[in-house]
Amino acid sequence: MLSCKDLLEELGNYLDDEVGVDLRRELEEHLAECRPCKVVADSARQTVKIVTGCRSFELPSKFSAKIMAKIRAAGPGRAGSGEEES
Amino acid sequence: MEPPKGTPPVDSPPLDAAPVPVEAVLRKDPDAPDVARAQTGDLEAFEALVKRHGRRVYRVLLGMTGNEADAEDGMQNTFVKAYQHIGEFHGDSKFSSWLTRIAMNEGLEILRRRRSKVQQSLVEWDAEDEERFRPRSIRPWEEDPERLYSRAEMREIVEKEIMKLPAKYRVVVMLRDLEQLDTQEAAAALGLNVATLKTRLLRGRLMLREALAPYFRQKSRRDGEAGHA
Repeated sequence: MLSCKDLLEELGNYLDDEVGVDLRRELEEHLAECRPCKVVADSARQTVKIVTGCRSFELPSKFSAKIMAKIRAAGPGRAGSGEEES
Repeated sequence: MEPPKGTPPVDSPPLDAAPVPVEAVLRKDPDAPDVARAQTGDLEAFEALVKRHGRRVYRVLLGMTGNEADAEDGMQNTFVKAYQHIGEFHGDSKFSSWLTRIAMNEGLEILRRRRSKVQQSLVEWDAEDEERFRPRSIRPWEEDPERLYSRAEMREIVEKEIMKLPAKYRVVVMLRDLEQLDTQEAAAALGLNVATLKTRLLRGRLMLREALAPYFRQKSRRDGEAGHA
């Protein structure tokens, strides 16, 4: 059976569903027997779900208008010239 | 295609990234039509790229600098440089990866300019990952922690705790779990090999788990805070 250390090393791959069938079975056997590891794995999965779902750090307002104004102010585009402008 | 000249190298290229034929990258890159138009000076096409990738660029820079004003300035500089150098982009990688590398260089430049913190920030950025992280909080969380707080409160909690992470973990968490890039793409964008990306991601997630635990763990139990593994 895998140790807690083994489980922690594979936890990232397990959360991202990047483990093979055999390793997954071994990890889940360990989790069924080890309550602390089960708590860590479950709450790590919840952490990912919370971060993914909360839409944090959205863009500042009117960001694209500001950027395009800066590009226009810098003069005609040098696209394709390969030269440094600033 | 390398990022524009005059910007510092980000990191060594991914060690385990297999070479991909240029034609294959171009075929698979959804940005290719807008990039081709922007390369002729079409600002509308470039603006479409700005809108499509602005959030990722902002998050990379916010992740690296930990400062909203720096991230916004860096985002503007990133897109100005990308426009000025778009003629040098030949599709050797996806446009989004090329753009992210420019943002990374811009972020490193911002860190270098911060004289008071430069030593700490750059040393931290390049440092080897410390040894295995040991989880401490082992009290179960509530079944459905998202119901404990309003959407706005959740966002505030997550933003506050993510910003406390060290930059090298924060930026990886932001690209993988907020932007939802896959492992290969995030590694390529950050100039890290896949193994390093995975190590930093797990470390960042576990550190964030510790930080979020006081908000979400079950309140009724008093056991299980002695640490584990």
